[in-house]
Amino acid sequence: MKLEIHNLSVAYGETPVLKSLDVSAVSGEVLGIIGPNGCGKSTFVKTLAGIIEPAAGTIRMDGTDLLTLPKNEMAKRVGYVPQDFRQLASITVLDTVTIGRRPHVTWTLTKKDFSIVRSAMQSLAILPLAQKRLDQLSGGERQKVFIARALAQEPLVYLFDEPTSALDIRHQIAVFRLIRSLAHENGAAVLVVVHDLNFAQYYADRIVLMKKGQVVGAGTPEEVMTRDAIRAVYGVGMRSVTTDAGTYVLPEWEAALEESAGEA
Amino acid sequence: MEDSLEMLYTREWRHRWLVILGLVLVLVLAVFVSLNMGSIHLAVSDVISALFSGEGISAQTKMVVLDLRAPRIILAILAGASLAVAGTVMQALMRNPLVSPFTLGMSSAASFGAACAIVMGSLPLLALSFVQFQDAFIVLFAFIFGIGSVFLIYAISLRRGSTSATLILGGVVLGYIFQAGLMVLQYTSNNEKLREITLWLMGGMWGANWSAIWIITPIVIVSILYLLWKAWDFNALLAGDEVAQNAGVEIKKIRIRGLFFCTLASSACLAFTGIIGFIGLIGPHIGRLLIGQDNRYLIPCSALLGAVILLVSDTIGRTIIEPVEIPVGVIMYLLGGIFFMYLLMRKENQIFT
Repeated sequence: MKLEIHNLSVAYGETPVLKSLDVSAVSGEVLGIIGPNGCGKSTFVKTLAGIIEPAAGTIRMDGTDLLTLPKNEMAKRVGYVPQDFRQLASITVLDTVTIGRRPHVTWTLTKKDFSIVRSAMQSLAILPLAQKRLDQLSGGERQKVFIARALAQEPLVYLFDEPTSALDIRHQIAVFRLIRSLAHENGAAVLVVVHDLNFAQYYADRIVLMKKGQVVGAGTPEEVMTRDAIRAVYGVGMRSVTTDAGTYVLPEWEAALEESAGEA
Repeated sequence: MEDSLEMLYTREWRHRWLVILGLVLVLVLAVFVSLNMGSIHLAVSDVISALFSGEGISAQTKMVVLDLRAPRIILAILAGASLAVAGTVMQALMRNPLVSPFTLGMSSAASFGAACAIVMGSLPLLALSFVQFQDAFIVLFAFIFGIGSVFLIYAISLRRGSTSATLILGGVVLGYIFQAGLMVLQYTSNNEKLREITLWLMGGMWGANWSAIWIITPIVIVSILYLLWKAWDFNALLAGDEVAQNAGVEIKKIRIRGLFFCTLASSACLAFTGIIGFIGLIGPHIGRLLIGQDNRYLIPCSALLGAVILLVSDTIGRTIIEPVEIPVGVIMYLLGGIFFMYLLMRKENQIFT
């Protein structure tokens, strides 16, 4: 399956937020989306999720433009995990994950729906929380519930908007491993907005680098996350350090900021 | 662990159906008790023969059962069910547990609309055209004012920076404005209509008659069926707008249509009962305690609870200090006020954010 986003533009009122983006993703691959705050990363994934209406452009999945499909059909193809969960009523974990089956069922849940809900909850280890209400959970647990909800929707494309922002390092790694296995083992296309450049470098197969609503770089992490590109986009000097455990990008701390301030 | 989720769901499913079935039985029981009770006490056998065979009883007994008590009971059931369902759905649509037809000011607006139609019906020029379709006009006016108020409040809720508290305060204030309108009508209209409008402010089942029942029954049934059909959408909205949209819900459409049918069903009933407060809060909240948040079960459960509570309250109201009747609206203010305080004080459910 190939997802081709062409000429995608989004505006909030008069203000353009995304300016004719061209991005493609394929199944079996994790596409990391990086860029500074306010560059339009979240807007981009929300547009793909059917939450924001684009002003122009097409989102083709193997030729079919998702934007022309009924919402329900789009929902069967694209699953989204939001970044913040402020708008919540006090529903149970089980009820929340079950919402993922909405595009697939008419009224009752079948045995098959059940096993899908169960395995979604299993893969995030939240089965014991089934009857807890969302407002009784920690931020990290809540994030897992919403990931499970997207899994239960069984989409072909997954969209994650900073999926680990509320998690500690151990759970961050667990979630990114799950994200990678969705692509590599289940064969889904995964687009994930990442803030932490090291996670992006380690877990993404390909990277899209964004700045001010535009794509300024696309390719493998090594190709895109160069010292110059990072400095141009983030205004911070970064250094690649290779150890026996892998390659890391590290900031050059204060010196980096002063240097970029001089440039700006 | 493997199968416990399914077991859990099956157990919940069985529990939910038992609750619904139990409530149906309670409602049937309440209907029979209510048919028996009143200023004329009847034997159970008399009620049964009045309902089914019509033999072996006096014409008066038959009249009491069929023309006085039956329509009143049906009106209480329809009003209780539609107000409770409207509350349930509005709470899901706006993700606010304190929202209901009454707290949004819609009950007062619809009652004001109905009262306007009644007063206009007494004007000499309009009376001729009104007389035939008066009940339909009353429903229409109630609906127009009801839907106007709901969408006004909805528009306020869409403004930036509005919180759940803004919504409730706006609704309460709107309610006062329409109650003021009712009082103006009361003050200026002639004596004959005056009593009717006074009753309106208190809310009661005096307006029950068969022609009213024939108008509102189909409206209520169609509205509740529509809302029940959309139960999955309301469930999805509980997890936030973004999640709902990603799950395929067209949130703007469902909000507008949902509010439309909530208002249609409740204003049709309110047109004949006057302002009845809080049943749209009590029904859904007890429903959630009994059955959980899944709207596929919560909507019928709230409907039954609303019907039972309103019917029982009305029956108590008309029998407790015979021959004086206490309007059921007054009883609901009392019960509902206490219940509202309880909701505000409950710790685990942060209502105002």
